[in-house]
Amino acid sequence: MASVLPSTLASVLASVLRSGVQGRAGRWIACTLVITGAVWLAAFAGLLGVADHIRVDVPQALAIKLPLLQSRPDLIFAGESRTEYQVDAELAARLTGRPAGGAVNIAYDAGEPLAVLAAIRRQSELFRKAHVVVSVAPFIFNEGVRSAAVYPLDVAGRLGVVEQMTSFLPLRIGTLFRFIRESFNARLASDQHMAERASRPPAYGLSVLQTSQPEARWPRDLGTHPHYGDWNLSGPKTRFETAALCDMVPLVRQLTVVIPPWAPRYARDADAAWREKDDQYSALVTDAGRRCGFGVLNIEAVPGLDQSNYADEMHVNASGIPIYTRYLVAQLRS
Amino acid sequence: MLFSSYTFLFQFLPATLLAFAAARRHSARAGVLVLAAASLFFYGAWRPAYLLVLIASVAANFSLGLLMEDPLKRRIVGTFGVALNLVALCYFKYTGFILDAVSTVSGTSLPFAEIVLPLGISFFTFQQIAYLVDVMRGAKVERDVVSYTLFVCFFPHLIAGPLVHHAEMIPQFKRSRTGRSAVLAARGLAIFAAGLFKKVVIADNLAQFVSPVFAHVDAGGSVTTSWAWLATLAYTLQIYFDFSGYSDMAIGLALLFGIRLPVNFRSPYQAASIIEFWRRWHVTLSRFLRDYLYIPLGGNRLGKQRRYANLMVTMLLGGLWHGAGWNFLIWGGLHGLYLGVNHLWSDRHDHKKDSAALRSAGGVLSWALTLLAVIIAWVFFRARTLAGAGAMLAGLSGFTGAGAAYESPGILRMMDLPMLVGETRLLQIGVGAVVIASAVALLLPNVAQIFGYREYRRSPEQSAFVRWQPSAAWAIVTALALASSLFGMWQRLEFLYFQF
Repeated sequence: MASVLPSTLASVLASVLRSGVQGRAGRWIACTLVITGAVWLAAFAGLLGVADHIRVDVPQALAIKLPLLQSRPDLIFAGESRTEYQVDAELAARLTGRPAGGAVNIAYDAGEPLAVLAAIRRQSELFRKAHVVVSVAPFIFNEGVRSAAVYPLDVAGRLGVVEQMTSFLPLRIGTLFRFIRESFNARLASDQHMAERASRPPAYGLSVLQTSQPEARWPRDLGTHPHYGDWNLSGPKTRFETAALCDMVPLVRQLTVVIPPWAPRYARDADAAWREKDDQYSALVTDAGRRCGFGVLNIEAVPGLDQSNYADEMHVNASGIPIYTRYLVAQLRS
Repeated sequence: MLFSSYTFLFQFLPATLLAFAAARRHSARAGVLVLAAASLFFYGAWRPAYLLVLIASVAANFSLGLLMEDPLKRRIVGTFGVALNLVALCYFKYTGFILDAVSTVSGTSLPFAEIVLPLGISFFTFQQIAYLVDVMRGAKVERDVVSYTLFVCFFPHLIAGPLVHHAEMIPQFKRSRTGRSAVLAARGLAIFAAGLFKKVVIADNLAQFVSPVFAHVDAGGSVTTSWAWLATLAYTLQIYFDFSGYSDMAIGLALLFGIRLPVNFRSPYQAASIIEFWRRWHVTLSRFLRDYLYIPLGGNRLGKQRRYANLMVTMLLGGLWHGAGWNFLIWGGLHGLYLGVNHLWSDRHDHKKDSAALRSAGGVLSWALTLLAVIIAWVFFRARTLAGAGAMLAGLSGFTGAGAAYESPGILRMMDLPMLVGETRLLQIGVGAVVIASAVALLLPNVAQIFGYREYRRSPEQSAFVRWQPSAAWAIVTALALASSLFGMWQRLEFLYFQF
């Protein structure tokens, strides 16, 4: 079988080099495919340039949550999915003696500090007197994670067309597709003044995962989890995202960066690879906090939050939300 | 797996082409085997369980064909086979519709049947019915199961046609090696690129002027005259470019493997009568309906009144073939009526007596009337509810119904990339898009003509101007079409005819 493919390719190549009608048609096909590739690359570069030009740092996923700020909250939970699915802002407001709407949750899937910073700059009045609590995850800093679903788009937008193409083509083209689409969506949300005019999302921004994933889908360990894959904390992600956390400090009353826990079935002590990478990333955030003046809350475990409260390895399900929220609020108050 | 998906273009197609090329070096039969296996994989990739339905259908019809070799059993087995196919088609496609109709008429509540329609079932069932009927009429029984399987399942036509005939497919599988494979493949690549462009760049971009407006009227809203005309005209063009684009892609893909599929569209909107329209629109379905329904019903051999009745029955069933719903029935009925009027007019009016000027003016008027009739019928075809069709027709007539009138958020989507332009500008852009697409549909030769495509055992299509050849200029044009289509492929809109 292994010899069939090369010999077939050789035969196809021979037909291209042949003279006569067949050879001419073969050469035409080859030329057409080469020109298609060249035209596509040029057009793709142009489209990336347009996306770079029109994009704004506040993505659509964040823009649709910003109407929550109309209640002028002074406790704002932001960041990635582990805040979106785990922090009940209404409960947090009650626990801290705030009126309804005094605390809101503007986090979104794969949310990044750069986007939160852009929202703060855009609506500085609403953030100036607020305690902003931003959660982070390893994929936000780990340059090795380049998948379309979680690559921070505001980082991609700072790379420039040439670096975008050399970094992501050909295997990570999906990341650039998402970047282009989300750039247009972010611009649309901005042009529509979604932050001011859209209706407020329900439940003060909390989304709920009702069910837990089947046993077969749980990762065996976290040391080999994709979020820690090709571990590299020295790329543009780390540079831009830690700088964004630092830049938030003078723009808000108080900034706390939260490192949420993983599901309790994963034991740090038994997984040296995970522990080593996780310690590096926690240290990176803690060091930035020390330098720039924000607090860091590294939550390795939550008392009372057990395996049955988790929907997947990262996120709690509906039953875990009050447990996590109460613990987080208690930690913030202490 | 859509033809306009990255998985198809960059994984399935290259792998199949390479495997086919390798197999053909061994023998023609090996190539057929590879294509049959690839086609079954292609179908199974959608929903593996329904691959069993396809295989069962092929196995049953092939076996019935073998039984029909006995002249004594031929008629009874053939009749049983046709009935079996129709029962299967009815079960998968019409159970819900029939139960719903019975519930409505009887006033009783029957259980709602949610049966997933296997992709392409209307196509592969009709093709096999034609085969059984032809064997009943004395055609040769196919004894090679692989060739028969490939005739039914060949992936370029499997999901949405063209409806192929066994007599034009199976002989092609049995030919020895062709000496012009690269020539055919070059033409196939160019035709595929044209079809992909028609689907992804033209049809999919027109969809934004259609879907939200029809969804609004189907939900009980009304529509202004300007939006009604824009949505209806855009749909008229969308369905043409979508379906003919798919057919072009199918023809191009088949040519990559040296197989010639029948032409399915010949500039239908250039037709100057409904009779001519049906000779140009979905040609292979028209051919099937004529040969296996209209003519067996008696055609025009039993008098004029019987002819009109046969036309109406044929078109009503043709409408139902497209989908189980009153709207499709009305669409078919309208075309039956149109055809009846057209025949009546032709019988009573002798064009030869008209002066040249009158013939010319009459030609333009006929074309405009034909197009208008087709457009009005499309409203029923596209609307999901009769009330929605009514609201759209009211809008077209200048009346705005009782519900809230459609208001667009004013977002233009170019290749699904959104831009806020405002409602007025969006309407203008929509009109511009419709004008450009109309110019392509009405003024340019069709793909078969441009590429000088030749059906199996037919002469090449003729074109008055512009003719494809393997030149540098055409390489650039083809590359531009392919490259621009690749950007639109992230939209992932399905082909309109997949639902049929």
